[in-house]
Amino acid sequence: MRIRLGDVWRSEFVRSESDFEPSYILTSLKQKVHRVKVVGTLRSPPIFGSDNSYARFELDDSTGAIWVSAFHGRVGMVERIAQGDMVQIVATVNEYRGRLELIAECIWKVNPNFWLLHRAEAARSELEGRKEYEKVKSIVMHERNVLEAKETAREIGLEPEVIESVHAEIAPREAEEDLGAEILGLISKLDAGSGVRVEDIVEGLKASHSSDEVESALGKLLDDGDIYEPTVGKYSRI
Amino acid sequence: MQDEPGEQQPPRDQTGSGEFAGEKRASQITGQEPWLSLIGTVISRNTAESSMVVDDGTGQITVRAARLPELGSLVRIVGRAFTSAGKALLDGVIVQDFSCFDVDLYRKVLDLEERVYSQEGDFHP
Repeated sequence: MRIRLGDVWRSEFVRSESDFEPSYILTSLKQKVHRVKVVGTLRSPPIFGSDNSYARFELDDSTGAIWVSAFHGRVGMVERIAQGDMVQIVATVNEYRGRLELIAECIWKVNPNFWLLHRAEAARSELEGRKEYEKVKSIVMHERNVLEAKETAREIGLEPEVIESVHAEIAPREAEEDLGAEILGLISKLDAGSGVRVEDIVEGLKASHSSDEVESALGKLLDDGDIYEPTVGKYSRI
Repeated sequence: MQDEPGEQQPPRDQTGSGEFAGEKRASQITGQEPWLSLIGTVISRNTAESSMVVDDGTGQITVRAARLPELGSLVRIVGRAFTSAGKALLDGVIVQDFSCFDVDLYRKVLDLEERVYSQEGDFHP
């Protein structure tokens, strides 16, 4: 996938649990990407290991900078480039000591106009990704559960795995909104004029929510201006 | 890719993330930018001081560089900004030859990116 380094940095790295599946990044549009195509400039001279078992350099594409490593047979590709060269790289993503890096598979020099083509194509990928994300979001919101949503996604040619990522993003937000509405309803019911004690709110919702969840939701309602504290530890609706 | 067992691991430092050479206009440069990039034309050169003045259409900036391109060349500078006597200057770590660069196409790509990556995020071609 053609991508800008800035978008690589905004992604979440997911390390594979299995030896047979590659690790990947999950972009902000919930795309699973384990191999990237990037174009950038070598900002530093390449560093070579003493026995040429690796080479390493820093790549900058004006939206982000990242270290790129090449190992063993691919070190020769790095010997043919130098600081200041503009290159296209096909690479897999890796994380080392908590920091993203790229592991090069192919490297070749490109001219500045190729960089423009890359930028235009990365913008197109972004637009296509957004359209797909909207489709997935719509499926998640209209199907009764994740299994049905996955089946619908499969039927229209979308990656079923993306459903889980989008669901994980949407579900907590919806749950939080539901809890907020429940709390507001309970306050309306119990408030005799001087506010409702936090303990009474927790007690009223203990069948479905922990006290931490309720207190966190109360904090959000306060921040949003939906409730206020007439006295410490008591809440009223605005 | 996971690290291969028994493989010699290259030294890694912690600098490869936040500081990148974002595209700047000459008129925007404050001298505080740790890294930036700029595309412009060399309008004067001073070999004695290893410096040149680059004009990008919005302003001019003096760039120090080890190798000075020909007068009139279109170049891309990747470097670090600094100030001297209250004036923003550029340490041109990298000077790229952009003589074949399609400036009209560049403007179109910038316009496309502006629309795609703007905060609204709802651009459809």
